[in-house]
Amino acid sequence: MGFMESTTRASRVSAAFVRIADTLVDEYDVLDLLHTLVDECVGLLDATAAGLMLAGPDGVLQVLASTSEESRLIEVLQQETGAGPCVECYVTGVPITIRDIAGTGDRWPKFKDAAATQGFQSVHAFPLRVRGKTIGAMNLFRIETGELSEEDVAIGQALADVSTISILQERSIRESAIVNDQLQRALNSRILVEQAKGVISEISNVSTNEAFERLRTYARSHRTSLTDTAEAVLGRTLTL
Amino acid sequence: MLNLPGDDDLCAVFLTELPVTGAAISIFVGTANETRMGATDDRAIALDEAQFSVGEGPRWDAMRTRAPVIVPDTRAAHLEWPALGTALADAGAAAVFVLPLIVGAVNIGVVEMYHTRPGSLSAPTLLHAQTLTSTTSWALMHSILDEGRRNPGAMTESEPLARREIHQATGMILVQADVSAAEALMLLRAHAFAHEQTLAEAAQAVINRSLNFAAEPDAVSDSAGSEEH
Repeated sequence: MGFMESTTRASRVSAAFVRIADTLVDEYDVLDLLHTLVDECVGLLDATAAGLMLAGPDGVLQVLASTSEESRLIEVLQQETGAGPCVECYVTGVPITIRDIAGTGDRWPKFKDAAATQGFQSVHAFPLRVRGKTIGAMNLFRIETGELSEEDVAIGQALADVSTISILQERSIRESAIVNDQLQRALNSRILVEQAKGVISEISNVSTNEAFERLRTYARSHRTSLTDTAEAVLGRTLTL
Repeated sequence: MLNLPGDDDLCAVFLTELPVTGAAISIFVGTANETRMGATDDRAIALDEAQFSVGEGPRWDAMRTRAPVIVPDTRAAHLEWPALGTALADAGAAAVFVLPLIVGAVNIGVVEMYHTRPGSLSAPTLLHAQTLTSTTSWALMHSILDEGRRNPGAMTESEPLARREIHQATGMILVQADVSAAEALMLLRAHAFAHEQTLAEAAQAVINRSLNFAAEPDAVSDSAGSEEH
């Protein structure tokens, strides 16, 4: 790697951390943070798509953020809520690298088929860990077989760690309580956003994907959170 | 009969984990319109009934605002709820804590707790109570979504809350039928059961706009078919 190339990389990496830190204003929205995380990972690392899942109160992983709201990517991720590298990463708390998804036999048949349909050939799952507890996992998908470079793995895990710590940042309250509360707020927000997508999709006769773009655009341009925007849509005080 | 996972057991957790004397759970969705209750004791039931009959009190505020309502001293309750007056104190509760049971925009019910001594809940205790409430909400939601299925065991889904399309369809139906999120979800559930579909399949039909609940849901349902699968 040449000097120019590496400085560019270093500055892009630090810019990614800054953008994540920028989402951490007072009363920040966890969903906004997680969307920034997956976007930065795909922008920076050798990956085509990314999805992040957190465990719900029922112990089942939920898709919280992804680089595309297209139902096809979501379907691959949702297949993983049952069994797949993300679940395995979440359960074991260690990174999982699948360099050739097609070669996984009948380990996760539904995931394998869904990934093949999307042209994803390899996947790397990063655990979201805090103080020894794993709260979820992030997937990076690639359209080629093979592994992420060591540097990409290190940067990806660092971005994931910073986000996890940020989600669960300590206040003067008991740790487990704030951790669980933050997680459940995030999961609840995700459901609100999906319901609001349905409302927009129905009222304005657009796809759920377009509905999400409208939610996100409104939230950004009005400097408000996705969650608050979704609540306003559901309360029918805002039409998008 | 609603076949939920032992409402009394669900209440018992609040008693074990929190500094409260008693707890009751009321649910507003499911097969029956009436409120079904689980409770740790008769006083918890009496507190709920006192508010139910006058139509005001912390349980109603918690439902409306979708946020916890803390009454540290019930002797002052008449200032906020004149019609309720001293009913809470008369029933033997010195402090009352009501938390809403919600999943997204769906209002499932409320958990009503009381203590025989006045006092508020500390911030960590309230957070813990909210976590317990959230876990309870999801457990109840799973039961409600599966309850009333004609063929038990057939077409059940272990993870309906993880399916985005179910929440998106809920949003679409609440507009189509002009109902609450809870009612929209119940409409989707009823359709899925009647057509022996999974909730995800029925939801996908709504998103594909082959199923619509705008008017006469039954007639629409029959014509919508199930060509998805």
